[in-house]
Amino acid sequence: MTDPRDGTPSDGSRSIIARNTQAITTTGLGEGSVRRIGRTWVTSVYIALRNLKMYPLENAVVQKGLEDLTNLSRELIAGDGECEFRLAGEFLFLNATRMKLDLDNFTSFSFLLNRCRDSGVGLIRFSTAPTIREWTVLLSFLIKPVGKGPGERYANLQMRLNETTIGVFDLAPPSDSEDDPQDDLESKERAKRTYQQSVVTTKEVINSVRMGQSPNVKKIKRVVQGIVDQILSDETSLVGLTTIRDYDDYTFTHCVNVSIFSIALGRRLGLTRLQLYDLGFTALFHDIGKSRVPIDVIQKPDALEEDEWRLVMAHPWLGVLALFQVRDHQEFPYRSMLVAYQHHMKRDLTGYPRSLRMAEITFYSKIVAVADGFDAATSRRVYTTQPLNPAAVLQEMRDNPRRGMDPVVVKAFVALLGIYPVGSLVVLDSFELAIVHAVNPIADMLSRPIVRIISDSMGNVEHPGTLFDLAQQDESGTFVKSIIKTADPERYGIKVGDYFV
Amino acid sequence: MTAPDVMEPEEQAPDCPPAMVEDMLKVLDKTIKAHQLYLPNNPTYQKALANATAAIEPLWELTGSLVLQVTDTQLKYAGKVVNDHPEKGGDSLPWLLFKDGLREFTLFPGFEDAELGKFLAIIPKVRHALPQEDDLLTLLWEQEFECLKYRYVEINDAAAPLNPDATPGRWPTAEGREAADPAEAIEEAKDAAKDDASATPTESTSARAAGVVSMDDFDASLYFLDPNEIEYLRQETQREYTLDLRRIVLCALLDIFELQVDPLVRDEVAGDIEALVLHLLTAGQFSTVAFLLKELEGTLQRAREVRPQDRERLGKLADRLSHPDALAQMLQAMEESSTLPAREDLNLLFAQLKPEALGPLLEHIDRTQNSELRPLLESSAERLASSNTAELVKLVRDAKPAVAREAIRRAGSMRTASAVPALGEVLQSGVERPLRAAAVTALTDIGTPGALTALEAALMDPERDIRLATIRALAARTHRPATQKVQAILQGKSTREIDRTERIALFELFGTICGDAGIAILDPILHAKGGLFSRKEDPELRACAAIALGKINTDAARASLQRASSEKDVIVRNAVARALRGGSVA
Repeated sequence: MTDPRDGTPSDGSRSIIARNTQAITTTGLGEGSVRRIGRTWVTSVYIALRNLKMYPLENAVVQKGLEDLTNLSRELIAGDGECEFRLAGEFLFLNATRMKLDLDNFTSFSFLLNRCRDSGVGLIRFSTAPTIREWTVLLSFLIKPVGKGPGERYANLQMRLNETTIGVFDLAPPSDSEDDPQDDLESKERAKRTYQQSVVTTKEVINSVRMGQSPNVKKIKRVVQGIVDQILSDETSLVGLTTIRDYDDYTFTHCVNVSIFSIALGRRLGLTRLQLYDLGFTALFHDIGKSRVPIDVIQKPDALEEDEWRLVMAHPWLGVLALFQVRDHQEFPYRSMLVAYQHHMKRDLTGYPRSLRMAEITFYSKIVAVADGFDAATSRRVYTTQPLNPAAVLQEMRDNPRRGMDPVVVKAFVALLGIYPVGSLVVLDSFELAIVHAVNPIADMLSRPIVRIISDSMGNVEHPGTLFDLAQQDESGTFVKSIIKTADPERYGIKVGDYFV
Repeated sequence: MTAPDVMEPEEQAPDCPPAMVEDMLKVLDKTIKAHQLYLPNNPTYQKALANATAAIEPLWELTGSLVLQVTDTQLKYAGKVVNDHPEKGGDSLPWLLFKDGLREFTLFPGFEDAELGKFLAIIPKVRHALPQEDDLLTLLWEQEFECLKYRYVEINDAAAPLNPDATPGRWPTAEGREAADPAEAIEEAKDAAKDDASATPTESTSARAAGVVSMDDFDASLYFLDPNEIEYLRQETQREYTLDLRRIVLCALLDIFELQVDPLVRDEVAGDIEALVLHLLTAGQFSTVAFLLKELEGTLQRAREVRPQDRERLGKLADRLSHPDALAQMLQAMEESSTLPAREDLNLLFAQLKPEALGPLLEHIDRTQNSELRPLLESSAERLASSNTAELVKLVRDAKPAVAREAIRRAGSMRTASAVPALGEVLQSGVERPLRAAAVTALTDIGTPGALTALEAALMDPERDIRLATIRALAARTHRPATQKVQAILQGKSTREIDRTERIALFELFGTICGDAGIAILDPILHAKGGLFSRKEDPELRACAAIALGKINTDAARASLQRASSEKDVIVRNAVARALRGGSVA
């Protein structure tokens, strides 16, 4: 259960910031109004920043942008009494209301997010409307941060603001998610429950189809809705769970994983909540055709005979037929049928199944193809005892055109998972073992994820380990720890999924 | 945000008096009923909505949120029953919410402004939902409520823990895997680091141990989407939602049918195609059905090893769709539909149907009350008829007058010469008057010598209007072969019995087609003014003869008229004068 104002639990465990700001929205602007004004406000900050970067201060365009920003800030203060802009992970909050990201505001959100992170700023708050001059000074400092790391830059920013006697802004660095372990724990608990339900329901669905029965569509919908909600509120927990990759339940966990990856990727691509639902629903069914392939072929540990391969390669078109058993509102799930049919087709329509009439591959099929390719290659299955290294898989997907994947979608997928995907086992230059926990929110730190260190330099493995941000620098600006090697967790008996549960 | 009900609701001291909440829910109940009974612009509904808003608003002066627990028969606020419906089902709000798993909902300020309407719209949907339709939880989820949050339980929740016996962080040894010591990974890394330090830069890149990474390999900017890529993604998202999914699925089914020779698969695909066609017709996707019918021909020709029964089943799909019963269903659905198909789509479909489809189509054209649908159907009928004239000709003689009339009209407007014999039969068969009239029009439109010859039969039609139309048509086309027949009529008794307009038209026709040969007939009539040993004709008939002579307009005809120019009878004299001037009859 969450509070609508700040997206945090309503049982008293919300963060200090959220508690402080609840009173604001209860008596002031409604969430809808904040969201509406907030979108414009974020865009106007972006425009002001961009104009200041491109033109001299005297330029009329710059002045107009600053004036708009000042007016909007005044409007927010008039409604809510104060204006609080906060970064939390991948999200932007304005007066405790999460701003919705879509393709229309993608650029402004990402620009603002990166500017703030570069400067080590996680919160900007003011209770009186800043003047044009005050905005000019703050934004100029954000454009040209001074210092080597975010920490140093933040300290310098505070100092520079003090020197210019601008006290209207109340700044704070980004809040560390570890600050509120209760939140983190609950989020993980929710993610785990969502994942478990998803796997169980997927198993039911696939088994129903295998028996020739019509599956419970309502239950599937609920599962996908749960995944969408979880991804929107805490992407890391659920994406982390994809590393579980249960050996025995591969078929089912794979479907759930592909759905999770697809939804998470779709969110990065700016899809709306309902579009994410569509995407997740189709992704969950992408391998439904395997329910029609004999189970002994699917689970055969040895190399498949030619006939058996032919059966496995039939699963995309078998999926179309299987989905005619699934009805929603008396209508067939056409989008799911196409994803099931096309997810092994390449961009040039080669791959399988052979098609005579297809003129194009749907966008969702392209997304699911990438998610499916990654999860399949990095999973250990009955017939694949040696899964591939996630980083190598991503590199292959990106660099090998013969894979036929959409390069833009692959690029976005790498941006989602990082160069070292979540769940990768890495060796640090401190000779500790670590598991990649989350992609670094700092845009140009994709190769420096947040990791969970799980061993000492002697190889003694511990659970649950400790989180460490590889973007962290020492006083001289040198990174404190770096990845020097990736390793196969299976080989060392490390069960990555447990570090996300 | 929604959440499964995993925690017990907290005990809360009531911020609002429960009676106030109870009153608000009573008003809400009434508003739900009003929503079901009235349209949104109805004043009664508007008033009910305003009442509900007015009942909710005061709560926010006392509390920041209103949490209501849901049981099968009651809504509770702070442990007190505030809405009680002992009967499950019917209008019971508690049961409606409870049955789909909702166990608690919370309202926040602003609900009454923007979201009450959305909530009210959901209630009747849930109340009347069929088992396979979306339930309350899905409908609530789709609306993205911001001022209404809820907890629910998953009915038959069977989520099982994942690997409950596993040791955290390690794979169970029982699986029989030989796990290497994690220290090995570290040792390998140390060795690789040493090698890397001692090697030249080129060597370090080429001979790097597996998994060893160099930060120089990564250019983070490779992974940022540039504006062009963002635009591409935007377009792709738009494309995803503008695709004709049914048509692409159909392509997939046809591909499967064509490429998979397994009879069981083909049988299943055929069944799926049939089911899909029904959905396509229901959705008004006629162009896709047309596409299917066209593609099926090629598919059945190309596919290998198609069993006769499969060929028969899919090959006859167009026949089945053209069957009057099936077509009547489709046309009736269109008649009642609020949105009409595109003209081109409909034309495409009918172009693929069998000729037998024309009859039901023509029948519906005659019957339709939908003025927007009629031109669409007429356009389709025209196309279908033009490529199936034999069927059209057949329908001219159809026993159903509505079908025959439309077929006759169509034959005329399409100038279908092959329909002339059938149209001639219609004129002579003594069928009802509208059909004969339509046949005259059709034959006139066709206008070939054969058509005009067939039209001559209508000169003797018992209906004056049909005769008149025929006379004028023959005159307009100067149909000389009718001279004998017209002369016979002129000389018959009936000329004296018909009305003035028809008589004038008949004489005009005769004058137009008879040439000088007709003067011998007309001159005696014109000059029959009576006297010793001479017959006296009616002045009006004499005037008609003058008109006819004026139409002949040769020297002999003019001479005949000149002789009557000093006629004493005003009617005759005026007609003669006008005929000599070449003027028409008033």
